[in-house]
Amino acid sequence: MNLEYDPGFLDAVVTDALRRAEAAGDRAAAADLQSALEPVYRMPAGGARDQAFAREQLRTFRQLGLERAVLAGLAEFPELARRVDRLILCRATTRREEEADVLPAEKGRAVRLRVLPDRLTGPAGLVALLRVELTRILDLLDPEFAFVPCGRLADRPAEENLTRDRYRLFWTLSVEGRLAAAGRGEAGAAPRARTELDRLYASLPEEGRERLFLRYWTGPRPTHAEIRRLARETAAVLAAAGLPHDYSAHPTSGMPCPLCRFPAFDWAPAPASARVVRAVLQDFPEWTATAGLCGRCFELYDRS
Amino acid sequence: MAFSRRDFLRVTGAAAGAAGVLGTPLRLWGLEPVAIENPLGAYPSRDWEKVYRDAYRYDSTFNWICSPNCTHECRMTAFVRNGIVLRSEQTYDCGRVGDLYGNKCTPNWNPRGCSNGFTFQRRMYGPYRLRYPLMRKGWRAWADAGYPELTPENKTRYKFDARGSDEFIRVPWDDAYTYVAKALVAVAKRYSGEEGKKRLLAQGYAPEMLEHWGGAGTRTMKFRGGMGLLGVMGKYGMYRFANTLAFLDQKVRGVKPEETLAGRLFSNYTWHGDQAPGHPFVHGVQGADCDFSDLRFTKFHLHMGKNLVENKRPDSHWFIECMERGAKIAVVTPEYSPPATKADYWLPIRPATDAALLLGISRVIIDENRYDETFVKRFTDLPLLVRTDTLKRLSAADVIPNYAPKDIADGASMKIFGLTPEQRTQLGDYMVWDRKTNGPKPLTRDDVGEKFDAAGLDPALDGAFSVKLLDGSYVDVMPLFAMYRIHLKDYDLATVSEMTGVPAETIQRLATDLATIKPAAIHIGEGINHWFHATEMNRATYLPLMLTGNIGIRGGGSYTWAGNYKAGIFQGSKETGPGFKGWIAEDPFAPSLDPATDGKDVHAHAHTYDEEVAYWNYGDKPLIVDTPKFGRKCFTGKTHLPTPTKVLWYTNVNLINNAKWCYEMIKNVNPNIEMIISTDIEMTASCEYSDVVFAANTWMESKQYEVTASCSNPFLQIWKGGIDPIYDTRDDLTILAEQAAKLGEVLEDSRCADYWKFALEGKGEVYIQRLLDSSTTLRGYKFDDIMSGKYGAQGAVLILFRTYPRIPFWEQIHDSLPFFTATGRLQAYNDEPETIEYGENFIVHREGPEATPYLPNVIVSSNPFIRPESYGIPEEHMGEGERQVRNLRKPWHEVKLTENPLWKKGYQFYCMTPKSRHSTHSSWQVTDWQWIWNNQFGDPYRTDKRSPGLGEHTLHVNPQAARDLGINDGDYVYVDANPADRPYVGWKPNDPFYKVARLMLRVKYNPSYPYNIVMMKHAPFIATERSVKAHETRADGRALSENTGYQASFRYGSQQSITRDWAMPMHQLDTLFHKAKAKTGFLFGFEGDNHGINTVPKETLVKVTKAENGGLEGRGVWAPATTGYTPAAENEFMQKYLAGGTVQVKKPS
Repeated sequence: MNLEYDPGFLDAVVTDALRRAEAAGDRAAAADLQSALEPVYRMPAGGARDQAFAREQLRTFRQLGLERAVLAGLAEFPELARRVDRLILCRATTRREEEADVLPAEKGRAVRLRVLPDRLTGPAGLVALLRVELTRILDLLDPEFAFVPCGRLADRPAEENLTRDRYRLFWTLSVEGRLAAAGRGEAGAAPRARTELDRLYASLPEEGRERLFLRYWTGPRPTHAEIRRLARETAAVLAAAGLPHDYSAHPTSGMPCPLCRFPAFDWAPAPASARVVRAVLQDFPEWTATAGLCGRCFELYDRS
Repeated sequence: MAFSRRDFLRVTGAAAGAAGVLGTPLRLWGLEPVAIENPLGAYPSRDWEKVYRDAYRYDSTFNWICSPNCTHECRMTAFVRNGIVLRSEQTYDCGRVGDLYGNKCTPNWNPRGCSNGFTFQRRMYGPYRLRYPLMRKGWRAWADAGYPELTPENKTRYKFDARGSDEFIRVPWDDAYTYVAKALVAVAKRYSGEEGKKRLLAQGYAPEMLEHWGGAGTRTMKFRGGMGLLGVMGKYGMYRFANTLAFLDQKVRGVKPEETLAGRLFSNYTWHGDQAPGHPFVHGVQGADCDFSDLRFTKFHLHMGKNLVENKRPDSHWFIECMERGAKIAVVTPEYSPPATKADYWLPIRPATDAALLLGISRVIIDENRYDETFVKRFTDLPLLVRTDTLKRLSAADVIPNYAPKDIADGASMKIFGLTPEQRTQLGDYMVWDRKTNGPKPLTRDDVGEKFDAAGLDPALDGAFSVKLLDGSYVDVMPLFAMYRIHLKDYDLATVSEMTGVPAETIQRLATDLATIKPAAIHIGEGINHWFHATEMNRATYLPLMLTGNIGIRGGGSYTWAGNYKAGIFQGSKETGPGFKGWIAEDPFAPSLDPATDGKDVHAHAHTYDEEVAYWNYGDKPLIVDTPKFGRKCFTGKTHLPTPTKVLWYTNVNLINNAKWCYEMIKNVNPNIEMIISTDIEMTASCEYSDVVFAANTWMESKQYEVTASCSNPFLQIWKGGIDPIYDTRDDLTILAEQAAKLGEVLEDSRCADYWKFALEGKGEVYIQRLLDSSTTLRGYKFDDIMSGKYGAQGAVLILFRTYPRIPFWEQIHDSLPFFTATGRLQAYNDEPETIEYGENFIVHREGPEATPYLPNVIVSSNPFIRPESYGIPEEHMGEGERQVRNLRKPWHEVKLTENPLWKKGYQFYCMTPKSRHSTHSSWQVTDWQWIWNNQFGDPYRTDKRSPGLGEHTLHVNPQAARDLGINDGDYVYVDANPADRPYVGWKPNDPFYKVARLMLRVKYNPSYPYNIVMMKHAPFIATERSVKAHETRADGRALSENTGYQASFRYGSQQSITRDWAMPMHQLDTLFHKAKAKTGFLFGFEGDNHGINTVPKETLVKVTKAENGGLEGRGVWAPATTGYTPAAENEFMQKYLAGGTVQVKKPS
């Protein structure tokens, strides 16, 4: 497997490292790099000059020992080298951007890992991120996980965000749980994941959420299809949480209204009157009163 | 000496190295001085600096007029390089502009231009530009099938009921013109004669709508030259096109020329809600507005429902200048507005209660005897006697046997203002109680000012009298002034304070200032005019000024500011010719084809008929209500009645986008229209929902001359573009002319082209010269002289007003000429039969039919001389028609115990929708820089992919109100109005169109707004089916339509999701006597933009509910609201700063 670095990533990491060193009084590496770049600046703009810059940046990157954390992290995943031809490290600009992707295969299979530069130069560290993201990559490449690229997960942007968050939750539970079981989990990962689950499924009772957490933290790895179903279908979540299928969950703030599909924080008081229920069923025969309806839809049918 | 980078580095390296040697971190204080002999000697070549200087190099310049509907018409200079306009600047030449007599303009008009003008090239070259004609695929298929009747099946087959999901194709100009011409013929044939009548009635149109149809299918065709004053040739030319259809009607029906009926002229000013509809009731004129430069002469400036800080951008300095000259400023707005920050004091008023406030002030003025009795007697109707039985003014013919009206043929009314003998007879003369003779005496309408003095009368203002009528019976009469004392008993300070929410002592302060400071002026805007009862609020602004004599004087008056409407500038007269009418309504059967024809000799004959757009907007019907007492009743005056709409062509106006209740139009009304044509420069929602789109040249590209003027400045300006059209676009004027010529080809009638001869020859200036010749304000000017700069600046002259600055009613006050009302006086009372029936004979406060916490539409009064008709409609009936027409009178102490059922259901927010300073209505809404600036969420990177584009439309909410609803600063919310009909009638959750129409936007905490008031700026680009689909399917989430390239301002819905059209009865009178807008003459009843429905988008109540979290991608709180520097979330430092705690002032010892 070839380990590659995006020039922008190298530049950002090296610059940050040199800045920190200078702040601590050590200018040697900076001076060395400056000296090496001197003839490069005189080269005409173009591919050769860019390559020369990248070469010198990489040299300094290694000279400063910045590659050690990367190599150490990769060493924990020998399987990766068998399945992937290229691993490309790129720069992330926010924490939320830090993730690994399998790139469309052009020349062999490639994985892109986006990382904040200060993971290599600062106290945050790279190892925990590498473990989580490379575990995800191995999941994606595992035929048994059966990942299928699915574009949009929902019909509307608000639903898309919610569904994506839920997909990420269940997958994270599985990934972090497996790492924890192998003694390679990050401190604080379990409570963080539990907090996220509580946020996304606040409408479920405590015992249901606990069952959900344990099932995916400690249980067998779910497939992509299962995670997708969990993210999109309340019934699947109820089943996984050991709750009856007709469990009368108070609709969660931000969930789409079953009638208009607009995300709603303003839900009609339950139970709706028989008159309203009749009026709704005329337009939505599949609806059940336990699914609830948003305040606006309630107003419409309350007038009927 | 060349200086290499190596040398440069060596220098810096040496410096750094020195620091390293010292063994300390690199700090500035550690640097050793470096000896450099001549820094410029070692500096690299400075040739590169030329790049910066050359950035501003230009090859040529040209002047152009920035002409959107802001009223300013600023002259700009464009700088061109390589044929591209790089930028524009203000011309700064106002001080040179003069008139025929050598008068010059004050240079203080400079500079004129704003950020819209500066960025216009971004629109011209921008991505939303229309580049060629477009045709809707389904419509073309319908045309190819022979323009079949629109049965329900055909509507679906050809997507008349789904225009928003159809596709547009490019068509050559000639094809577009041919299809349109043939469609006009097909529609005219289909809806003419008895067969046409049967069809229209079968389609469900009210029979009253055939009143002005007259058997002609051409009368189902509506045309709108959008704010025509912005381009009299190309925009108002649309009305000339409508008049061209006289030939079509002649062909279809075979009638004589004098019997032909052409199209209908859709209004402009009133359609936007821009008019102050009460003005014709008070002084008889369409609208009173002064030259803006007059603002600086006032000593007391009262700002009501207006924002002269953010709007009237290049000219708002006049308002500020009155401060420099020692004026006092008071502002009446519900919120602590930008003008309020400049004011001496602010009156925080409950929305739409301004009439109550002004009545309370008037009462103070009267009670404290601070009124100008002489002015009141000389110029107002307050001394005129009113019958207490009929509530009509006492007529001389009622009491004087064989009364022959005094001959006033040599008076101003008939000699100058065009009053006809028939009108004179119909109006008659009025009576006062003369204290000298202790008896009733007649007054004519010309007996004002000095002429009143000459009559030698001393009319009583107080008292009650008994007068013997001709039949021998007696009737009690009173001077109107005395009746007002009774009327104003309901408007004491404590009551008014309760009604309006303004503290009593502040009302007293305002009353005292209005009464004692002169000149005093009141300036109003859409904050008044956009309400159902704007008529009353407008009338009420005049009452204190009538009492104190603040009319027709420099720095005084009551003025309304909104759109640029004043076609009346091109005033026709018997001395000068037809004026404006000579252009839009030259007789098509007798056109002047000689280019040297003096405009005075142009013969005008309008085969057209005006129509208020509001009827289309009301569901393409008049106001008809089933009343218990009288059965089915039509409240739309006969003169106002609309006809069914089958063709709609508009130019320079985002008609559908800006339609109140726009989604109702799209869903339920427009499917019945057989052809919708939009002429524009950019892709708008109005284009998206059209059938044919004509791509027009911009102001910078126009090939033919265009002319414009303004209601707020004295400049008449003529220009044409300075660069060639970038795309396959044409001038507005050329499009109209070529379409007319094509119609002529199809009809085999060359007269169509003849009617547009000079436009087709590229000599539109012939028509401009005729306009100048035939207008009272411009006769004497020659086009060539104007363009040569003879009057000081090329293309600009001063319009020939009586005074500079132009001050309405100067002549009335200083030359003792009558006003344009029935009485010839300023009127505080109207006695039209409808006005009496509606209970608005006195100026009175009414709650709105929707935007009120109280009983909708109630008249707040116990005045026994207000006797409204309720039509038997019970109080608890809340149908929209019933609410609009029911007239119930209650005193305030009863009203305040009532409750609007809608308010009770939780619709407890008024929604203000003012104009943004960054756009001009819908123009510039999505132009990049404007969009970034006009809201708090502007982000060129679109970090949050939910954003529809570079910015987000925003709802401003009181922070506590938002918190009480669980809404954080920056969250997305829904704004919903009455579910009975908003966003459209018949909406259902499972209707895909509901998703398009429901309003979602971002919230911004704004403590300027009181608890029950929210605000969003008006006229953003609505969400459409295509834009919503784009938002939901594009990877970047942008609301950018596929196929059309339309960019919406919203993810879902629009400002118009919460508005609807209303049909104010007081705007639909047949008997209101007032001045015609563009000629010296009078009329009764309807005239477009003059007396007709003035739409009122603020008449709504809304609910606000949370939709999504404002944080990035829907997680948590919007980040800027967590910094500690935003309203209602200030950190300790910010609180200290706001309290002034970061500054310490040391007083000198």
